[in-house]
Amino acid sequence: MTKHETHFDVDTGAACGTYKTYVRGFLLSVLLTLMAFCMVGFGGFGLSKAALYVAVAALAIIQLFVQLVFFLHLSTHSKSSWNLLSFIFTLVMVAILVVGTMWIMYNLYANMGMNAMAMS
Amino acid sequence: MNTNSIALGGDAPAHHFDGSKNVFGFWIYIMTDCILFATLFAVYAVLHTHTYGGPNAKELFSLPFVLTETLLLLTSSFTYGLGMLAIRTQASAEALVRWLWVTFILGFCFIAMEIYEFHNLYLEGHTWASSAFLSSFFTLVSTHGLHVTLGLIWMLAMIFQVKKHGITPLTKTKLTCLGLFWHFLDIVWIFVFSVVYLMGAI
Repeated sequence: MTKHETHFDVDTGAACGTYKTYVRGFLLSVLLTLMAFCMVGFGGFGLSKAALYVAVAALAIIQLFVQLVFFLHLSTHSKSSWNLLSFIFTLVMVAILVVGTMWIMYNLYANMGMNAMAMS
Repeated sequence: MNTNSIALGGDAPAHHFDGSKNVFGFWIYIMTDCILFATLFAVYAVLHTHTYGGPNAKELFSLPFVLTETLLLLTSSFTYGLGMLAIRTQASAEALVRWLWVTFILGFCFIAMEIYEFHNLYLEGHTWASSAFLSSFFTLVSTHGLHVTLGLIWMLAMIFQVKKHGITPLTKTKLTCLGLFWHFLDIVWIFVFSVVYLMGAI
C-alpha cells in the first residue's frame, strides 16, 4: 500500500483501507491459503518433507504480512510508527519464545536419545 | 466533530472524544495476546510428537473440514472490513449493521464447526487427558476458539449499540478495536491452520 492511499480516521486515529485494498487482501489471503492446502492435500507434488514444512511456513508468514497490511493497515506512515514499533518488538519476543523453546527442547530430546521427530 | 468542538469552544471546554489512545492501547493488548499464543504454539511444537501411543495429527484431522473453517473465518474478516468501510463511504449505520450480522453468522459457523470437531474427537475417545499432544492441541485451538466466542459476544453488543446510538466517535472507536481483534484472530488461525493441521498432515 502506498502512502497516499492511507487514510486516518479523525475520531479514532486508526488507519483505514479502501474497497480496493480489502478486496486485494481477501483475494491474496484466499489464494495463499489454497496454495498451502493444495501443496499438502494433494501429496506434496514430489517435494521432500522438509521442503513442504518450509513452504507451508513461508506461505503462512507471507499471509501474516498480507493481512497486516491490507486488514490491520499497519504501515510505515509516521502516524502509526508506535504501532509498528510495538509490533516489531512483539515479533522479536515471539521469535525468542518459539525458536528458543524449540531449540532447547529439541536439543534435550537429542541428548536424551529420544528423537522428537521420529517419535511421531 | 471538529466543527462541533470549535463551535462549543467559548466558555465550556470543548469535549471532543479522542479515541486514538484507546485504539493504541488496544493494539498493545493485542501484542500481548500474540505472546500468549506464541507460548501455546511453542508448547504445541514441543509436545505434538508425544501421542502416548494414540493417533497423531495426521490420523485425527480432516483437512477439507479445516479448510472450510479457515475460509469462513477469512471471509468474516473481509466482511468486517466492508462494514468499517460502510461507515466511511456511506456513513450508513444500516449497512454497517448488515455487515456486522454477516460477520457474526460466519464467525458463529466457524465456532459451531470447531465445537462439532471437538465433540467428535471426544466421542472417539480423544480427549484433553489422552496425551500431551492432545492436551497442547486442545489448549491452543480452544484458546483461539474462546477468543472468537468473546469476539462474537462483543459483536452482538456493538450491533445493539450502533442501533441505539448510531455511529458516534465512541462507537466508532469500539468498532475499530473489535476490528483489530477480529483481524488478529484471523491471523492466529492462519498459523493454527498451517502449524497444527497442514504441518500435522505432512
